[in-house]
Amino acid sequence: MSDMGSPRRDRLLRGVRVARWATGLGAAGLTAAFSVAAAHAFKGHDGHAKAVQTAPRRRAAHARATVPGPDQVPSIAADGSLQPPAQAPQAAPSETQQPPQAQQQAPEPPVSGGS
Amino acid sequence: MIASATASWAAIGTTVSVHVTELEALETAQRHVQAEVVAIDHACSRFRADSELSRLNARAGRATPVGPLLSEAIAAALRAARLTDGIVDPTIGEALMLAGYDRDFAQLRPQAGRLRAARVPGWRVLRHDPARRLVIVPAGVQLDLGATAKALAADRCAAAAAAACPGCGVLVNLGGDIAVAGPAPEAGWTVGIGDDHRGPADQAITIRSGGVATSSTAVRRWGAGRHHIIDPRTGIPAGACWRTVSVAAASCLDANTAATAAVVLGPAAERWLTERGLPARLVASDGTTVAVDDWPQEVPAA
Repeated sequence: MSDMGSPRRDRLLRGVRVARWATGLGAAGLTAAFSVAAAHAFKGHDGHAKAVQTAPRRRAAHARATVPGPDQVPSIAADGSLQPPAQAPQAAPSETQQPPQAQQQAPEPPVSGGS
Repeated sequence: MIASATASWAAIGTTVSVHVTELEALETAQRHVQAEVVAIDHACSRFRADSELSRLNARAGRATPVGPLLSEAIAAALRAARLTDGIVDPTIGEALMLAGYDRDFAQLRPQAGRLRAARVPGWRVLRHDPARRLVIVPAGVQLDLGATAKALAADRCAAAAAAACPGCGVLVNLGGDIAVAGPAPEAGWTVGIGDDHRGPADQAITIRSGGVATSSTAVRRWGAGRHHIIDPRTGIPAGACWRTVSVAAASCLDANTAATAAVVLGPAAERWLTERGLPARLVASDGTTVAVDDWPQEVPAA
């Protein structure tokens, strides 16, 4: 093992320390530089950018239209319920209860049934 | 007296008839009814590629301006949905197609196999501005106005014909959806009630105003369990509790809304109708009948 003087050893140690600091600073600088470069190369969405206009102008106008929900549709009958008839239906008189003239003239009544 | 004059013809995939109390008013009344029927077909048909409804469905996801009649029909459908808590829902179009009802009924062939259910998005997803007549049907949603548009048309037809023939009573029958307007005959309008509007009738009643409508799973079927009344809660055709439900109401629209809701509600229908004071006749799948509220009792055949 060679005998190294202490001033020389101290100089060497300082040199190593400086080299380590320089390496660290260089790495940090390079990282920052690459980050900035990458941010500029791949912008992505910054929250303020306008959407790309792909639809025709007229369609965009329709898409922006605001319409109220169905709860705001006025009721046709201006009421909140299904309305019963003004008069309840009655049983139709049987054919034998009708006068003979009516029996002869009566056409088939319309039928409410499935369709 | 039942009616002085009657005319009938085929339209919108069913039979249309108009009955008037004054013979000389028949031609005018028929002309107005024909015009209304043509208009509703062009506005609300799901099976016409050139109908307004088809165009609206094709533009799902975008705000679309609609004509006054389709706007009224959509408002009527939304009102029916609101008043039935979504049991009668216009957003069942996709479910109907999955059940096999994807073309005009006359072109349907019998189908079998497992039913495919669709998730019914529900009427609240629709956006409708009646003042500006703008509608937004969300993407992926298909509207079907079958439960309300024909009944609305019957009301409009009767009102238009009666307005064109002052002093004349009018009854309009659009495939079983019946509406009356103007002065009724002395003994009222006689209406037959049955499973099928083509007859025969199982019962005869008289009405003086409003309308009568019948919803039935006995007709418009294309296979076991396949019919046109969709339960929005399951996305498949309604169960077999009631075969046919007839309701009388202040309008044909309300009558048909209630009749359709009753078929879907099944065992809960009787109470639901009673709570609303709607006279109704319910026919169970085994043929037994139940009269609700003031519906006249049936006279047993002699």
